[in-house]
Amino acid sequence: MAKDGADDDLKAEDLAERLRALEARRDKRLGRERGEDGNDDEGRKGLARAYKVAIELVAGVAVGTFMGYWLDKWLGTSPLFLVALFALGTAAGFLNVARSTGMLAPPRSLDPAETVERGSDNEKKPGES
Amino acid sequence: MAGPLEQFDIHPVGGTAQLGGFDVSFTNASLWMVITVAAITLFVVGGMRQRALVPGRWQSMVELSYNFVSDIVKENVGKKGNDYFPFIFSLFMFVLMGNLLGLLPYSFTVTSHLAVTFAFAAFIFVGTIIIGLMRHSTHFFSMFLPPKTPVPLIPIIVLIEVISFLSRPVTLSVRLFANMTAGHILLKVFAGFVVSLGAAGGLLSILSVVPLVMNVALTALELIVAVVQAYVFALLTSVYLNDAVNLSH
Repeated sequence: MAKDGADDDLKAEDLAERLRALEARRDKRLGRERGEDGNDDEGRKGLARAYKVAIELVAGVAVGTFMGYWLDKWLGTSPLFLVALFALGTAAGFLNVARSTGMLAPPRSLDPAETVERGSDNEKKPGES
Repeated sequence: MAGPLEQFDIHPVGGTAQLGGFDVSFTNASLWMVITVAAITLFVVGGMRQRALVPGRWQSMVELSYNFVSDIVKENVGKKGNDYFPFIFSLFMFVLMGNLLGLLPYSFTVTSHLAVTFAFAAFIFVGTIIIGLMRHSTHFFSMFLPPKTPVPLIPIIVLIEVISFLSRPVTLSVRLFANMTAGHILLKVFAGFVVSLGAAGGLLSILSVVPLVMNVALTALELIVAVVQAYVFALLTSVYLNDAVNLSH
């Protein structure tokens, strides 16, 4: 019995070693493959990021301009709010871009009790969003 | 030959209907939404029918989708997010299935219409505001004022933050809609090249293989985009929910 157990252990170790070697070989092969068409993948990711940034920026400007247009229409102050909110909307667009690309962390809550409560039931760092 | 935009046409299926002056016909968009829901139901209920301790292939796929969304919610909202998991799971599955079914020939992509994606985004947006107000009452509005803002800047900063907040449903919906629409137009345009080059005759007919190969590659890319956009949609919903639930802003 004891001898059989030792045999099994040996086999298991052997198997683990072979698995490791196999995985290392696979990683190496995948790594090389990734290297070959890495440019393509990088381009696709770059394009996706460019889309994201463009939409974030345009959305801020569009929402600001839209608000300004309707405020002007409602209050009859054309083009005061359109101009002002276009500028602020552009600022909001840049804020969106800065936040979505991680250049700027979102502001934290003022209330320290809130932060503590959040920290206790949420492993996530409050800075990331 | 069909134009590249014809695939987005909405037309009634089986007669038109009016209700209170509105057109409430059952359209091809409605039909594909019903098919999407039916496919999800079949996938999830069918996969879980055996409830095996060691899951088979099908059950494994269902469990993987469940875990995937569950991880998104846990990582982004924390424990309090459990209440909203069913909603985010349904949302993810609907967008994912809608995107994937849209890749089938002769199908209709429900997520390629801004009306559909914006309806989702607006619902999520209003929902997060209501949740935030319910959990934090007026303190919720403190998210528009970053701490330690110099007093003279407060009006401008608050306005910018409000506009930035209001642009959330726009970015959420436009991203999904633009990705799906752009991809499908591209597929159709290249498919059009195949047909017109093939019909040209002679050497040009041989050249029609080039856009065909391109279309195969694009279909693979669209498959990735379909999954990634469903993931992004669920992820951003969780992030926005987190702002309302945990008020980290």
